[in-house]
Amino acid sequence: MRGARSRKFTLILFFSLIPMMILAALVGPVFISPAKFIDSLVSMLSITDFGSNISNQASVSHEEVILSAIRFPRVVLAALVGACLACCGAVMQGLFRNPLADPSLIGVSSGASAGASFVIIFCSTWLHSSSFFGLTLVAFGASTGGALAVLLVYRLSTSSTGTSVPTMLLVGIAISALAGALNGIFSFIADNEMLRRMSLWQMGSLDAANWFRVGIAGIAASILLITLPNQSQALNAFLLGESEARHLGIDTERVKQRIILLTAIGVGTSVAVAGMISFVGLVVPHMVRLVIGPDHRYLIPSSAALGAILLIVADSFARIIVAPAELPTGILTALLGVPFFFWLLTKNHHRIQR
Amino acid sequence: MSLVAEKLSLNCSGVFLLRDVNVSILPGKITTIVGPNGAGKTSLLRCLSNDISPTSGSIIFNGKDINNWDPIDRAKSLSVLTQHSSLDFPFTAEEVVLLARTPHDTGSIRDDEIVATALKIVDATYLANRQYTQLSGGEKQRIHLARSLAQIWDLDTKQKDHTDRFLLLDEPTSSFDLAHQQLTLEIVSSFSSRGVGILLVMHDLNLAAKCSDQVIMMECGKPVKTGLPKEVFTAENIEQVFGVRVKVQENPENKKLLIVI
Repeated sequence: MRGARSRKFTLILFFSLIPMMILAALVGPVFISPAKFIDSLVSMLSITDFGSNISNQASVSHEEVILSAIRFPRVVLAALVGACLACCGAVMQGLFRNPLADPSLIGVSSGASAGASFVIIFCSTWLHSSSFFGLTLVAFGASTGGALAVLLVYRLSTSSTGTSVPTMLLVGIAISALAGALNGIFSFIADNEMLRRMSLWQMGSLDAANWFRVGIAGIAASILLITLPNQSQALNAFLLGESEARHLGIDTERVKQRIILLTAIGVGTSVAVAGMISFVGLVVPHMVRLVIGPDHRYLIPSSAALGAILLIVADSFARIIVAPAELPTGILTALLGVPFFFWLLTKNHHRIQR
Repeated sequence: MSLVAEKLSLNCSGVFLLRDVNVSILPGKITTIVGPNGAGKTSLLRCLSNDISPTSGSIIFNGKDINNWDPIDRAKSLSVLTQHSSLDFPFTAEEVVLLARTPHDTGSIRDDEIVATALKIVDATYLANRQYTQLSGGEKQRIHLARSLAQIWDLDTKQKDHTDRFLLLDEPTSSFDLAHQQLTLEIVSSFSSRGVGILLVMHDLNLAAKCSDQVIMMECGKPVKTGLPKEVFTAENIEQVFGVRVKVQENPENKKLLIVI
């Protein structure tokens, strides 16, 4: 049985998350030395203890501000978004019984993209009034668009006899195409500045990270990580086929509903706080499967951890490659993940042939 | 204890796949459905296993309408082997069989024992750690046979007989070689001797004649002949339903029927 090995792999991934996060907090346009990091951490903790940070502002160091206001929220947000996207990808692939499925299959990403574009174009006057309010407005548009798309896909593929997974796939493609067309119309009527905003948003970036967004993403990630593992036995049975899962006593309709709802929450929130970050949801579960096999009891937590790690690393590179400017993180996830994925694929290929 | 179909009809977009079927699967007996392609054999099996709902009629499982069973309790005593499984993920053979224990809470030590024994009796112990996706068709089918056996396995209990358990197998021997076809019959017979009620869908009439207690010959969604193998497998019946001229003899070795084409 592979159980022991899979457990070990999952634990290693989770334990490497913390050093990864610390390392990522150190790098950026301004490098923070480990000694300064510890100093800042200590003073931050002591300040928050007494709640008197305003009077002490003079003594707050430059590094401490960078860490507490920029780096920490950003690294934590990267971890949460990566975890959400990767475990949503894992369960989607299980639900569709297709290792090439991706959370965007049920229309959530393209719906979110159209929603965000809509806000950027039609609410542009409010966007300029306050940057903080504007950014959350785009996020709100994105999550509404994503939720609407999922609702539509689910409604259209559900009949009196239940939800048909193959129909859902087709409806998902159709809704994505529709949202893509809407997006095209929005780009057509947009002016230059709006166009740039839209395309930057679609590439996905974590530069707007703050503790408020961390909070939202944290709630979504906790919901997923608490509820998804309960579905892992059902998803394992699902891989045999829907009839077979029913014969094993699984209430397949309820499983489908829950998975779709949870994916919509996970991906919708991720898109709202970080824009479109491709590749994590598709490839991270695949990578994990190549190492520990398809058992969802280990696949879901491992994917969450590896997704977090991949996004933290990608975001760190996004900050330092063209410093002091930044690349959108969405580009880096693919640039970093693809070579690793190829390496795993070829390695596995040799093992099969031997 | 029984699995009974009462006045079952199934209409799929205007075509009657099953019409007014009455069938009972009894504990400790092997019932075999035979019939030409499209006669409704699999549709009947899918209705009996609550995979599809009939247009009219009802399925009574152990005294209660099958729709009123809790899915997990039902799965503990009704196991189904389907013709095709779409599994396309690299589980090991052992992990596939272990999925059968999903509805049970017997603990992982007991489950591992059951999986090992189930693999052993279908002659697949050597496949345990192989990747399912790399197995041959016959090997995959053996793994699924082991899985359907493991699902209703509970030989440890004090209970002597298992008359509440039912095993529905849809063409279990279709891709087996000669030796594994015989092995399947032996396994099925040993399960039925412990009280498990068994329903087989089969194309090989000789295999069906050899192991069955009751044969149901179907044509166009209706059972046309039901009874003991020697009552159903007559030259006239086979010619009428399958349109093939055969000779039916008695095997001098074991007194079973021998159908020669």
